[in-house]
Amino acid sequence: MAEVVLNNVSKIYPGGVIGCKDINLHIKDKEFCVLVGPSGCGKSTTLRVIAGLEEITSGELKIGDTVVNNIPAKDRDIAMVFQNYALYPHMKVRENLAFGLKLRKYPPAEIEKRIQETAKILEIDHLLDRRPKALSGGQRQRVALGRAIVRKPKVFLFDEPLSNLDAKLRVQMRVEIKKLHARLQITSIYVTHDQVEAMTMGDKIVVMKDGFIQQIDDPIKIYEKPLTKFVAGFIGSPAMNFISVKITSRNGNFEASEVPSGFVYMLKSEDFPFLRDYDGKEVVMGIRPEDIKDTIFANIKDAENTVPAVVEAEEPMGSENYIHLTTQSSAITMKTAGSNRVKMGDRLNLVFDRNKLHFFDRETDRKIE
Amino acid sequence: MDVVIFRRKLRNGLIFFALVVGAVFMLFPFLWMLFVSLKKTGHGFLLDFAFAKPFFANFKAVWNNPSFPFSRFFLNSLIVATSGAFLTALFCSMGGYVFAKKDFYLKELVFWMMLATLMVPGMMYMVPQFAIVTKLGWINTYKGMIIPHVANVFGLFLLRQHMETIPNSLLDSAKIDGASEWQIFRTIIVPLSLPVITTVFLLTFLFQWTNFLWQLVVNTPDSAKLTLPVGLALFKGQYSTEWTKLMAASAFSIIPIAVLFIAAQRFFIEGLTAGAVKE
Repeated sequence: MAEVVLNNVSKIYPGGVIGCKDINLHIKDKEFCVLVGPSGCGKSTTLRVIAGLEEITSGELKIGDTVVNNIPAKDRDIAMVFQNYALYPHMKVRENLAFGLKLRKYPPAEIEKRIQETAKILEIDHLLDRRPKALSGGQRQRVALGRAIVRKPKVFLFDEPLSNLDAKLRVQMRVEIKKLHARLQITSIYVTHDQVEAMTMGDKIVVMKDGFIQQIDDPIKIYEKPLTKFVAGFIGSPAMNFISVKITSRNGNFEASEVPSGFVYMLKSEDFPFLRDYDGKEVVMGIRPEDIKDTIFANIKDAENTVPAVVEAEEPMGSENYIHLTTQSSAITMKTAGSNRVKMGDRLNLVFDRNKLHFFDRETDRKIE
Repeated sequence: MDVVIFRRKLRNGLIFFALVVGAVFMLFPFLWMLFVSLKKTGHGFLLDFAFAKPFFANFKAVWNNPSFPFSRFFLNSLIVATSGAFLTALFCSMGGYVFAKKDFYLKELVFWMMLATLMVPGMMYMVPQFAIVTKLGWINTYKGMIIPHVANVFGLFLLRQHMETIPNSLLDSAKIDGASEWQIFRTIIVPLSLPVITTVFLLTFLFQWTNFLWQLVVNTPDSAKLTLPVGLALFKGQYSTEWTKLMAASAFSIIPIAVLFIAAQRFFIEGLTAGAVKE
């Protein structure tokens, strides 16, 4: 069991290509930390740096109390699960599980005991004498997990382990990995590009972009209080709506006028005192699809502060309905109950939940608070 | 419907006939060699059925001839071909691994320069190689016959191309599992490249087994290390050639190759087609 600490860790490839830069991260013992971000954001590089598969250009990496910058991967006492499983195709499942233990010269009886234990936990005991090509995707993933847990390492690293599975199996394995973590209580670092995986699995989420960390927090805080426009747009499905507005002070309150033209939305100055510095400037207003209501569906009488929009399309999901609308200058997605159906061309008057509005600086993309 | 079946049968029949003709054409020299090897001395080129008595007399005469140490030639060939093929397969595998999976300065340039040497005819190397071998005192030795041909660029190319298709995640996984560089090579790379390594082994074995010129060059006529191709040439006298015995010796000489190819046929075909399709 161990904590993992990265102090200003950077990985710069030849030619100046940034893998990851100035990563400061403290993953506590037994914590399940998820690194999430789009392709090329540096999450896998960070994981490979922790694994010892990439050399650190600068900074310090500690696993437990040991600085491991110069310790090779095999001596870091970590285990890794890969996206493509990376099972040795010429070895049976049993040999795949035993490989790491044999190399570490465990006695045969101990190896067999651990294989049996692991196989039981993952319910793969009937597959031990098969080769990887005779297994289904889900079974292969279990064997890959087995190969990691059989060694009882200090830290588990997962590199997009569910990406190759179909949607249903992915959900199932997600839960299994969570259960496994709860049972084994081993510090885990999980890389994914899927924000749903990140939200559902992580105790802590690290959102990355272009090699830099954007925000580190627990899933709910990341969702409710994103620090940048990127995080706000990346976490959440459907994504947060962004509307460019110009802030103008009027009668002690603020008007948010859609840019270049469109609706005018009134904001009370006591709710948004921080907008005072942006009087006369353009900002980005963000609102999540579930925080938008319609005067008809929400049964709001005489709503004075509404945004008129036209229905472009709807995506009925059964329990909920995603309605895609356009205002004069922006596209908006709204999430409503499945029974609330609309037709293309319908005109709706939208009401935003004022407590859930976010504002971002146009220049820096950072949240205005 | 019947016409369709008839046409299909006719087409299959024609294909079968063409294949049989092809097979006979390919097999004829072998069958002719066996036929002649069983005939009486002096009847080698006569279209008769005058077989030797006893039936395998020529084979016996070749194997037990005190003035013609056929079994010695056979053993020499076996040593040269086996060790040459083994060393070539080993070094090409190691080189292929490095070129496929490691990064070093000027890697691509070095590789393509090595590949470019394939365009130079082998004969061009013979004189400098002979000079080196002579200087090293390797005339009439196994070393002189084997070592100059151990560096095999074609084998290196074949193995590098195959090893590039082995996913890097397997090597990363082995590294994390605790494998050293040599253990990764031995337990992951070699087993996964076995079909191609077998192909390189067989091709090199075949090359060494049938290599006549180099082995003639690095052996003096009285050498104890003469190999089969050179030995077989001894049958061809200045005035006459004992064709029946020559053919018996030739028949002997193809046995190891035939056995090897039959035993490793599956690997050999896998090796030649490896990487042709995405699995």
